[in-house]
Amino acid sequence: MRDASTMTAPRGGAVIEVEDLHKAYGSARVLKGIDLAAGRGDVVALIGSSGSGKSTLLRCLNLLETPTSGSLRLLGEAIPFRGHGAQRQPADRRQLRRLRARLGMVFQGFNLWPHMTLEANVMEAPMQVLKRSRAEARDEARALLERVGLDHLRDAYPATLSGGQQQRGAIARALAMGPEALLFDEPTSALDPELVGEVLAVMRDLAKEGRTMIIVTHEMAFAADVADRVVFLDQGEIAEQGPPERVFGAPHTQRLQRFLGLVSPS
Amino acid sequence: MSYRDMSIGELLALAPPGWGGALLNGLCLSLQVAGGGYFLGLLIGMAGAASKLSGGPVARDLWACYTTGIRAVPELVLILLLYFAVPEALNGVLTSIGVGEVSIGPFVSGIVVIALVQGAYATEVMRGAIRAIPRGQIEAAYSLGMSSAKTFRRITLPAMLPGALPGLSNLWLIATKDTALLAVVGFTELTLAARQAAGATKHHLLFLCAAGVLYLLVSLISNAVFKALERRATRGMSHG
Repeated sequence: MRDASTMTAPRGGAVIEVEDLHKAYGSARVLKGIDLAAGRGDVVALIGSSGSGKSTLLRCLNLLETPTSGSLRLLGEAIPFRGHGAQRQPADRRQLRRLRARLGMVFQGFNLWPHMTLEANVMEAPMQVLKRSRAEARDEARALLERVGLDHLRDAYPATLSGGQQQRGAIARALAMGPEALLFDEPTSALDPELVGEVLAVMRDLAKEGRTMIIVTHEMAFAADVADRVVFLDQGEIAEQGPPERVFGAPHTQRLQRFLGLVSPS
Repeated sequence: MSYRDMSIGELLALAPPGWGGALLNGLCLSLQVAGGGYFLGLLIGMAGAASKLSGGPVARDLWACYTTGIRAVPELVLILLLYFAVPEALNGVLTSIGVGEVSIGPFVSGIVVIALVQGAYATEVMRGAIRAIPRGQIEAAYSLGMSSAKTFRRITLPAMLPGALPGLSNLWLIATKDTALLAVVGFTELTLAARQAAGATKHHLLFLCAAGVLYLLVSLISNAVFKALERRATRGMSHG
């Protein structure tokens, strides 16, 4: 756990920097001026009720959603945009692909590709994007699958796996790119309760090795345990943030108190 | 020697005076036109599905005009248009600017018409199959830095196959039979070959049935091939 003084000025340069980020769908304003920065090695947990905008914020960070306005720096590079309103999009597709390749994302619904074996899922992007040789990609994939405890299932197709296995496979797929930061979008929300633990264990491991992670989660105990900083979103705004012991132990705002009253850290 | 006195075996013999060789030759031409048209149609379908789903508004409108127009007009009319009307119009223009005439043979116009028709239907078949792919699988590819072209080729196409193959196998069977329409422009594909044989020998039942059996064989073999393809495409998927 790091002390509070490192929070505002991330050590080792910011991996992700967001300034005054807005996102609206038509007249529905989902994000209303978000400022957020994560430095190298930071583990940031985004919490909040459904509809608070936390998933949208995470998806803005690798531009699966295009912010309506505001500025975004990823891995030290500013992202230029062109167009306005619904037509607004990143101006430099090549830069976008390059940066996305360095930011891993793990989805709520796993999203493994159903027509490929687990191993092929993990090998795909290193071969297609990083131009790794098949042999190299395979060795790497096997090592990663072993790491997430799935080496015995590398020839299985996703549909034959449990949700927990699929999600661990999806984490291996993201790790195969050697990402400088990992984005997790409610990685355990689609899992049966008994499968949540195995996925959290893998994530806890990653946090321990000092990976930069931004995690949207409903698992308050997990957030309290692994996060350096907890960010509470409410109605599209950051209502409160700080180290987990303060956010969970001594929430300032009424909104957070109410939220924690509804979802008590178990 | 009169056709009247020949046995069925002699009538269907490959070498003249038997007509078997002519029938097989017609079948070959049918399959070539169907295969060429189908292949081009698949390419058109992929392009059409991709731009209908993610192209700009102008591209979407143009593709909508194409699929609506082609699917509305009978194929026979399209064949006559392309074989008679298009060369006439084209040559009118070409001679007026002092370039010689061109002619579009029945083989080429057959392939073009079948490609256009198949392309229109394949666009809709593939568009439906692509829309059935969970959006997240495509986002996962983007999130790993894959380009949209690469994502389409590596993820979208194979992931859509289980949904598209039943429709595409139907289209292939339709393509093989659409070649029969080329008889109207004097292209000796299987149907015209059978009619010529029947006309010359007066054994109508025999030769039309023979043509029917050949079409049936093509269908049965195609079905087996498409079944195998489907099995391969749905490998590892619990449903399908």
